[in-house]
Amino acid sequence: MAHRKAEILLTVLQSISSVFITLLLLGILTMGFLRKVDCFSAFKQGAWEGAEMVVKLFTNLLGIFVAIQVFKESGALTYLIYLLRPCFSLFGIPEEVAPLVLMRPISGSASLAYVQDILQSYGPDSYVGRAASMIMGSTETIFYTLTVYFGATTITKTRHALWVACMSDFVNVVTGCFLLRRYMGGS
Amino acid sequence: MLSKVWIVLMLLGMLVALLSGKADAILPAMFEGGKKGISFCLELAGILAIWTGLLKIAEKSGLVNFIVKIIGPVIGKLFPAVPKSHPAFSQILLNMSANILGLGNVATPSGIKAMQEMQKLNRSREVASDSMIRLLVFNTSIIQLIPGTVLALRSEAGSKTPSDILIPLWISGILSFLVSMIVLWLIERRKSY
Repeated sequence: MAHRKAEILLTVLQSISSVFITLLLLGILTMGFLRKVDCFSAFKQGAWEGAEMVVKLFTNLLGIFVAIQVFKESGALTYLIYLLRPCFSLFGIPEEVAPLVLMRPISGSASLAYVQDILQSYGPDSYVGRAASMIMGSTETIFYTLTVYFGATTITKTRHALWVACMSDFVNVVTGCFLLRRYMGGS
Repeated sequence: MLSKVWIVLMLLGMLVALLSGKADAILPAMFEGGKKGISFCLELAGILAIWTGLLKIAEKSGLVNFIVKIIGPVIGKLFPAVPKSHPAFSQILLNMSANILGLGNVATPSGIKAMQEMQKLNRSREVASDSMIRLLVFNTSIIQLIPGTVLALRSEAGSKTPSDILIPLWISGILSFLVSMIVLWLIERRKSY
């Protein structure tokens, strides 16, 4: 019964957001039309700006992707995870999920694959399964966000941006796991 | 910052590969990275161009100005260093609203533009200003109300209650958001830029 309700709620929420986005798009175009804006021409103008952004970002993104791939394929990431795993249980983060916590700021696709793997092996409604889902849903690929947002400017010194973002990430994970343990049973 | 990260990742990766006998993994990894980089940029270009195009229409029709008038005062308190009349402000506003509404694809172009505009207000060419850092931390610590991908994954994996993680997710998200705001405030107090 609860399952049905949750399913229905999910579908409703998802359709609300699609409807919302479509309404938003409709609003933008209608307003443009009513205010006698040449919509397609404005669109093209804006689109060029968007393309320019990506051109500016290209070398930064290329660098990051290459470095991350090298880091992953060489096994360095695996060693890092292996070294840091024990520390995670100190903070109440289950060990199985530790690789995810380390991977998430670095790679969205690897994290996604890892979460799928955990859900298969431990079941989605287990403590580990829930923890993994929660971490996946609430954290961000920090390195990419940093690259994309600052990459189109001349900024090279981001000061405390990276570590505050990582810290916030970590706090998110720790409190999430704590809440799961306290209120949903788990060890 | 990024160049340091880059060097560290590359060096560590290559050293570990050499020492563990996996030296043959390096070149393929680089090319794989190159491929991923380019395909990511192509996808990004598509989505970005579409949304910057749409936002241009919104800008020209006065919709953006309208939104700034309405929500401006609230967001203005979070970014006191940015003058409301500067284009940076409207971009920040769009970025924040998009984040809150869960429209990641709209958040990215306006976020990038916001940074570029804030750069004009910045004292230095290379050092990020407090407002820029604030915006970045917002973007990384904001959580989606409905994390669609994760919920779908859970459903597919056979979860009986896929949405049971939502409440802890929201609570921890809000908490970490507040914590990051406090930390930022403390840092800026000590040494503002």
